[in-house]
Amino acid sequence: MLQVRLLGGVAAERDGEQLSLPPPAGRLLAVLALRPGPQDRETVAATLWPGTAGPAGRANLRTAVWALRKAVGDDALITSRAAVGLRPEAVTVDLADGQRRSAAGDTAAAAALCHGELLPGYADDWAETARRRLRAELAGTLASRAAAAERDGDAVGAARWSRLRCELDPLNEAAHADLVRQLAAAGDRAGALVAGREVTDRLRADLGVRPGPALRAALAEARGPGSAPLAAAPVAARPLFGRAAELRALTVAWTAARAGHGRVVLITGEAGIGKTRLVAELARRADNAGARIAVGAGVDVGGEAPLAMWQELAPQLARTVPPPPEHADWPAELGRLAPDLAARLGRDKPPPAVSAPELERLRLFDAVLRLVEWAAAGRPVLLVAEDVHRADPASMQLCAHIGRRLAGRPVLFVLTRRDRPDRPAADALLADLAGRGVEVAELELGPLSGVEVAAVVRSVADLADEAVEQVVRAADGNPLLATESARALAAGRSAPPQNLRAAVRAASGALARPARDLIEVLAAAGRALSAAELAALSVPDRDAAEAAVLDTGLVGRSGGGLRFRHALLAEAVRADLGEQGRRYEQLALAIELAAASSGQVAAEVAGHLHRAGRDDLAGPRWQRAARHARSLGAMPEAARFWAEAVRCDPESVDLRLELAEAFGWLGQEAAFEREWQAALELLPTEQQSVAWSRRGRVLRTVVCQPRASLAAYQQAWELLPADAPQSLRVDILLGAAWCEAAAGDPARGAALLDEVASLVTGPDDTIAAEMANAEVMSLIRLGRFAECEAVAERGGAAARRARRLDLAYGIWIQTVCALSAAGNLTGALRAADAAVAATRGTTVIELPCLAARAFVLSRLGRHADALAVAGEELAKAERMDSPAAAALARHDAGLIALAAGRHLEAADLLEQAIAEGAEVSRPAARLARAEALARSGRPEEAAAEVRQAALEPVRDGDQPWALVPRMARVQGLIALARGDHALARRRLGEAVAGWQRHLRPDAGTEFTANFVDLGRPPIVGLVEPGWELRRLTAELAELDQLTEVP
Amino acid sequence: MPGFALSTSCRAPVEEVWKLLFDPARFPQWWVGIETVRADAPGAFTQWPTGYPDFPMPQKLRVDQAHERVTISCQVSDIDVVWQLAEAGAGTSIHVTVSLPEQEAHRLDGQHQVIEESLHRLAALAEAAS
Repeated sequence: MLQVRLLGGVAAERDGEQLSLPPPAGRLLAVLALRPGPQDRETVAATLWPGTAGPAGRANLRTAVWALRKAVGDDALITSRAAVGLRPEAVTVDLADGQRRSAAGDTAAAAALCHGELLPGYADDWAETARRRLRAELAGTLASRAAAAERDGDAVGAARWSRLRCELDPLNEAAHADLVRQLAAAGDRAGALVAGREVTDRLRADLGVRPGPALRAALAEARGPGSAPLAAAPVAARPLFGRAAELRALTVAWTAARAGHGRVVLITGEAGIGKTRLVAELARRADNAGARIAVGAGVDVGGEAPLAMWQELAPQLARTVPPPPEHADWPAELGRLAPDLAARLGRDKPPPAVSAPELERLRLFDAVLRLVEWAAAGRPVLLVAEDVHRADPASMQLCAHIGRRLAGRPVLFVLTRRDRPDRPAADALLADLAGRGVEVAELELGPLSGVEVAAVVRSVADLADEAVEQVVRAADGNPLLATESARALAAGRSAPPQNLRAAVRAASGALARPARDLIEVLAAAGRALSAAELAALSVPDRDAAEAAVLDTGLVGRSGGGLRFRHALLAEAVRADLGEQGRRYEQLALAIELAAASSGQVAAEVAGHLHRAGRDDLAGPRWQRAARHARSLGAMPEAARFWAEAVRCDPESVDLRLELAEAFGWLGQEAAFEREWQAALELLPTEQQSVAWSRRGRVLRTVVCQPRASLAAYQQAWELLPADAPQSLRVDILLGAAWCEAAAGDPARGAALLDEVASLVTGPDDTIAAEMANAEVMSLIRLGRFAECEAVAERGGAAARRARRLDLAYGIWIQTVCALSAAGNLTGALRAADAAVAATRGTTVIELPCLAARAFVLSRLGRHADALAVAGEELAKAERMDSPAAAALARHDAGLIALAAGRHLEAADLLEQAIAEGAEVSRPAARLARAEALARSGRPEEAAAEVRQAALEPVRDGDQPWALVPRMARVQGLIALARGDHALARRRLGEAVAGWQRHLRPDAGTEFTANFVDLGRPPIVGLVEPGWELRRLTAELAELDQLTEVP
Repeated sequence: MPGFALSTSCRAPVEEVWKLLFDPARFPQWWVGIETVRADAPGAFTQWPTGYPDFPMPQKLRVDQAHERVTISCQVSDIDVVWQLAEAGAGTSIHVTVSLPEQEAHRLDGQHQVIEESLHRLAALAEAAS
């Protein structure tokens, strides 16, 4: 039996005798021992001699096989014309043996694998791949053995496996968090703290970072109670009856979450079944454990302001966190949600100006996520979103945004909802979270048993056994109904009320004014009213009224304010309100009076005023609500509020134009045209110029139809009255200039900009940035690439001062494209740096800037820097909600890896990007992957990928004329990998001829076609015949050298 | 609308035919009656018929995404030539459909002859290149 050693050095022995292995035989033995059994000769040759494919490679292999046979003998080897390998039955390999024993639970074998270096002294790609694969497999084995031991209650064993995992990967925080937790569970608290301190020091020394949330949570737990300051405990609640199994499930979820395995739990059940009570019990326990807790609820009374639930949740969380770092920009962004929220976090400056709604939405969502992460950095977090069946769509989207990022954070996110009616948005949210690898559990609350209901009844009223039984029968397992029925009987009723509404009427019916007024207003609100709002209601003898309301038992204290104990109770009172419009009007005005920001409550106030029949007062509030929704990036709500405003004032041209624009943002073209046309018809001809100008702006900024926009501006110019204000004149000229530059006559665009300059001496920063944006586009169209940088510096600075990220992005990214196309890579890098700096923190536009920077660095030969930037792009894309962005980033990273010579990595990344449907040229991506495969010595797979490229649907943006020479070049590389030098030369020559046909002086036109067709700045996909030809010339020269080798 | 359809099998793999079909500059090598081609904007080119150096005929090459067809439209005569490729074992099945406007109906037979010969030349050229 031949015994092969790969760990700690390649060696072989037979019957206890060490065999002598010359270097070629040793290398071959190592490759074969990694996978005993027959292996394809071509593949083995390409693996060992990647630069010497074909006959030379085969000859090298023959020599090595001869040497190996001489060293180890015939019986261990398989050799044929096509294959070479080690006979599995005649060989033992220490690596395979160790892996097998580790998987079976042998810690000594696992330790040997961790401590023994695989294939030391071998720096080749194949050896590095083997080492990487071993580490990954071993890490998986260690983690699963640790988890299994933990499940079996063997904390000592679990810690032993986790310690090995930490030795294998000393900077893996999750592994260290597990180790700390398991040591503490095993009673070795000192060991846990030492392990935690060691990794904390290492993270600081090696990476300059603090431990992450999971590790900090594990350390806090190991230190024991009192290590973190406790939040104010929730108000003591009544005892919880029944629900033992559900509470246990919730506690398990909470325990896992606070250990850093964040997750989501959805609690479903009929109204009044005890969802809120169960969550309150969990919150009490979490509070005792030092968690940060925030609770919000969906509200569907009033105008349903966007993000209403988060306007409640986020401030609670913000109250508990330490001040964020000075350099963090997310606290200011939170000011969009609620101005006092930013102030509470120490930010007094307003958030940056609104540009595109989608940008606003993403920035705000990311800011809330940062708040949650900041809260979870020191202590575990419990987030509760109650009554999601009543939540507005934007709140649900934000729930999804946060929920998707919980894995790896000590956060438990609990949502509650009624079982009926169906709420597809909530179902979609859960399906989405589960599909993204977030742990999602569902708890369904059924009716309580008779015994449990009886216990509930006895806890609220001192009733005779017969009365208790009556209530139990009437309640049908519903604790809320049982509570209210018990109260009614205790108050003197002879029988339990027929339903909850009757029970509530029994409790509240005896109230005298003004307490009755107060409870009705509170019901109309459908949410808690703050102390300030209660004060603004101007209720006579307020203290007495509040006391009487509290005495009903239907309402409780909430901070300094009041709220119904359950939404159903408020619904019951509201159902009896009928057409009492004055209650809603009184409520609306009080809410507005007490609000810190009128925009924040505008939708709610408008909704109440509408219900009160006061559309005359509601109209202006709907407008304010629409502007506020727009500032949050909540365009569906903005459109709905503008529509309400139009309903209140149908003759207003401005309102119709706003509504039209909102439809434009939503991509509802027919609705946009309908509202715009309706607005135009309301105007006399001499005033229509403004409407046409606004149409032009929408068409060039919102829906990006430059030709249609130009037509609108031309119409606006024709209708412009002689006494028109200069600002309108400038708007029209500027808009038309951009349209001409982008899709019309660029020279005419430049002339229009001159007209603007003559009208405005010392333009403000926004106009200066708009002018630069159009000028850069004109210069590109005219092929005057080199002039772009100076314009960009001027315009970029103006855009920054005007806080117009969208303009800064457009100016800089186009300049990167232009300078790249001009071959000025140093200038392109400067522009890319400026683009990244201008967009930092706004991921959706930062990603293409990072892609551009990576590409330029790659072209400059700075591959390590390029790989780092591509990695940053990928990490940020994965953080976004968009699988499309992640797929695109993987594609970009694949191209950068390919250029850096990391062919296997490139092939993997491109394969994933293609499978995920990255929005790139699919044939081009397949050809890039084929190149990576050919360069990795896998010519057959490469050829199959070329075939797939030819079978892909080709779009105009794919520029098939550029794919043809690319395909020929990749075929050349495949031929080279197969050792067929003659065919390689022919294919590369074919590619040269193809590119030579496309060398044209008018690169500007070509570039613009790229720009328009690809839908994103074409830096990564830029087609450059000159550069392709230079690369091919170098490859042909290399081929010549290969051919000359005897 | 007058027209016709033709098919042939080719021993060359699909990528070899693909390269010829997507490269108008090589049309003169297989498309009967085309003497010269000049690439214009991406997706557009001008061809000159054999024997007519002063008669430029602008063309559009576009790809129908839904049906994976390559359509080459003559901007002068409104004749559409639609090519479709499919894998057939190790080779390729080539299908071509030609449609002419009514006013060009008299050219039907001539076009049939030209496209049939071009089809075979396309297949032969791809086979030679593979």
